Amino acid sequence: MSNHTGRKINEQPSDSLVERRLESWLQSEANAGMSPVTQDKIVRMLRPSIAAVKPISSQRRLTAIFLGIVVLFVAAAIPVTGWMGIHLMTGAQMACMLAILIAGAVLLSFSLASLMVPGSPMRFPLSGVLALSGTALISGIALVFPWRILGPFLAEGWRCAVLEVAIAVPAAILLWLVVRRGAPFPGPGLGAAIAGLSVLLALMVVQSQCMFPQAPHLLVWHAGIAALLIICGALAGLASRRFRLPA
Amino acid sequence: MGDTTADDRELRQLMSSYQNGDSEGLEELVRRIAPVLLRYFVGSCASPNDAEDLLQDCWMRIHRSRHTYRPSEPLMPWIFAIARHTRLDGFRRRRRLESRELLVPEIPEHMHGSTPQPSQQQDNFDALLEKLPDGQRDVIIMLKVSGMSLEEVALATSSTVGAVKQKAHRAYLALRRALQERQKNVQSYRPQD
Repeated sequence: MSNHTGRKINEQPSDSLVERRLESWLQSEANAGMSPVTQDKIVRMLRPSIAAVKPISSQRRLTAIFLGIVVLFVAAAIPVTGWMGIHLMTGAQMACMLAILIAGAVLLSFSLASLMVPGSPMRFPLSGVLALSGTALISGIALVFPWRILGPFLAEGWRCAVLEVAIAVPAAILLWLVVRRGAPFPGPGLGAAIAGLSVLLALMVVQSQCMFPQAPHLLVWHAGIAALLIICGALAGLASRRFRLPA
Repeated sequence: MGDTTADDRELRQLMSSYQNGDSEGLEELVRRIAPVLLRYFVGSCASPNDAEDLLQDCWMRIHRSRHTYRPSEPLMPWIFAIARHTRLDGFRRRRRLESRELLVPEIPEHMHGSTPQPSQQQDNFDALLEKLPDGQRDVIIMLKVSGMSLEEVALATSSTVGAVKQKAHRAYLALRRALQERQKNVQSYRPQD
């Protein structure tokens, strides 16, 4: 790797004093020395299991797979849960919710595909996508839906919450089965991304059957539960990382 | 990632043959990349022994996740993203172990001999690197040790080129200040010698 260490990189900050010390540090015996015994040890450790492997699919293909799962789930769930809610929404309300949920699902699918491969370019950083989708959803609901409460708020609300959880959990499990082909380092980010995508598809189904298209109901029982599920996903990711580390 | 150097092309080919189950490809890849990774781990505040453990752990992870490498993409960001996770997991594991250790009221006699003297420590560039925040140290070591470009370091650390530039700049500034301080200290001690 001598070529590598000697290569000059444009635009890097340069400082002769620091450069000199870095160079001498790099060339010092303690840092540069790597015993052939260690190299042999590594090769001997890996050689017994050196079977041929198939490289992971391209980012586009992975994104398409995630979006396919979303479409399949929504198409399978809506005929079961019903589409009464679609008839109760105005054209503007339906267009707004559809645009936010579809855009969120596309961006999250991209992010999830990036998270599956270490060192992959993050065109849409996960934290940005989650923040953007959340803000768009909350402001969309607050601006487009009326601020009034019809019917019993708690008694009717929990049904939407239960349905959202009942759809999001199996969807998250299915997404995890696809994601685990890559993603060698699970963590809160990956957990939140999986939960985020499954929550978005659950919201599409819940929204289409919901009989209460009013802002307070949607903010608490739809968006609020979605936020809780994403936090649960992040915690599950954190737990899986801790579980992976040997004590 | 516009220009692909001959070195990078060779490394990609070696990685492809490793993915195809070729043990010679693996051997050559280990011969070329392991020293760079060892320097990265040594530079990341690990003792030589810990660094060798991290190196082996890192190769185990590279081996287990070798299918996640796409031959059309540069290799070093992929390798260093795994190395970075290995180092972080190693740090977390060590912290967890340390939290379970009992404090000894006095350091045993035999331990005194291995403690580095202050003058030795002052000459040690590792000590300066150790003082840098994790992110800045990672960036400096990746740029200098592996010769990766800013774009590649950005990929390996899941950040942007701008953020990498900023971290490198801050690290240089901190190192320069520390070196100047050290020089001043040496000069102020001279008359007493």
